[in-house]
Amino acid sequence: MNIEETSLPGIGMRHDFQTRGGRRVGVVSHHGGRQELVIYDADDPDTCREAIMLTAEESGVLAELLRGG
Amino acid sequence: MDTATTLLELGAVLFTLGVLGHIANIIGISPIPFFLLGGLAFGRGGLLALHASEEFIELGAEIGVVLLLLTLGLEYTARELLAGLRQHAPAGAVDLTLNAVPGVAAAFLLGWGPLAALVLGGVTAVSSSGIIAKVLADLGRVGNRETPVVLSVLVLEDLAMAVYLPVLTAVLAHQTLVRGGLTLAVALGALVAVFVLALGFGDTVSRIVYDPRTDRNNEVLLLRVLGLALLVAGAAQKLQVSAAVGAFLVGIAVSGPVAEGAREVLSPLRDLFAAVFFVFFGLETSPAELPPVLLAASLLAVAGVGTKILTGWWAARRAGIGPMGRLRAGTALVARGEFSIVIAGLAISAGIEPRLGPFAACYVLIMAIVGPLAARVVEPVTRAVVRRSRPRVVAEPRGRRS
Repeated sequence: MNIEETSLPGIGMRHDFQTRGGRRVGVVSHHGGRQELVIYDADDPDTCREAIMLTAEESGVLAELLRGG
Repeated sequence: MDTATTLLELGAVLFTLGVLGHIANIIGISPIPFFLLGGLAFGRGGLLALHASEEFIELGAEIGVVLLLLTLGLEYTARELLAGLRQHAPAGAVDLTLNAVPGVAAAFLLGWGPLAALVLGGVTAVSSSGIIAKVLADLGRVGNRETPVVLSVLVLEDLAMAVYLPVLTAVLAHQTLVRGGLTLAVALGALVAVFVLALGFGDTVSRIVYDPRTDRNNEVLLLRVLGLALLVAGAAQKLQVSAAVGAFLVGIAVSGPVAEGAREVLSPLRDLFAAVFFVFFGLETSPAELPPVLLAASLLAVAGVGTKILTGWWAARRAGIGPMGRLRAGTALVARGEFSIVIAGLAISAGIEPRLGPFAACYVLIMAIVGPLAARVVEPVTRAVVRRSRPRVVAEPRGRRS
């Protein structure tokens, strides 16, 4: 799978990829340690439709849930 | 003046700023224009003249500049800055040229001379990283495709400031060409030295401020990082390289977990002194001086909105982003704020043109309000315009077919 990595100077890093269904999902990792789950518009790959800020604990829980734990 | 009066005045100013900031929050715009207006209301020619606290506010404003630039430097790592310079230098060049031109032209049209042109070019060229970062976060655009483009433009502006401010300081101090050149050489040398230090020995430099391996002690961290920044800023000022640039370089040199900790402990202090900084600029300006320059400042603001939108459009297109993203990038860059005031402040203390202060105050007042607003409305407005014009576009080929 092709994961795109983009540096966001002053904010942190963004990693995103395209799902088999054609949607783009990503994670913005802020310098301070918070993470943001971003989901892109189905028609416009430039636009982020949802941005959900997660604390370290919340992103840990989400990762575990996705892993099936 | 006695202590009681000083405390009363200071309390009144800070409390008023708190109320103004609250109103700005409710309306959802940047508090910077409100702080400027607050400064105009107090002080010279305002509703309530300040006497006892003015000295403190003046010093507070200087500390405000140091803190603004220090925390800005802490946001960046040297690696990010270098990568930005390598990948986006053309965008930065276009941005600075396109946006300095209206300011330079305005200074000459108003007959203020080349020195004022150098100042106004800077005032119109540099966007407000503070306002823009907040707008991007508020509008949930951090993940957007055009955001790295916007951030890179800001990075290059900040780097350009590290060269421009020492030059401006030298020129305003009426230095000879040789001394001016020497100042610039010192500034550039310091810039390079900081990059080498930060890239090669970032951990060692950060350890001057704090040892990340020990438990974090906020008190020690705060005192050491602020102390170091003030020391370097003071030394830079002595060399006439600009205190602000010294603080910025300290921010860049400190990296990793120490930088994150420093940002956290400095943030309330930065908010306090940055507010004082904007108020001080307003204090120095008499409200009666604003109306005569309002028209010229408004025209310059219109030009400034246009050139930033063009910059964003061009830079985003270069990165392969669609039309809506290009417009979003352009409007995001419109806001001007802290840097324009820092530049204008330097010119005012050098006393080159009395109308420059009120003019810059008007310009920033307009741009700090219009910028976030433009970023907010660009999408709905563009969609509405496209929707209205679409039926015609769709109808034409159909008509041809039948």
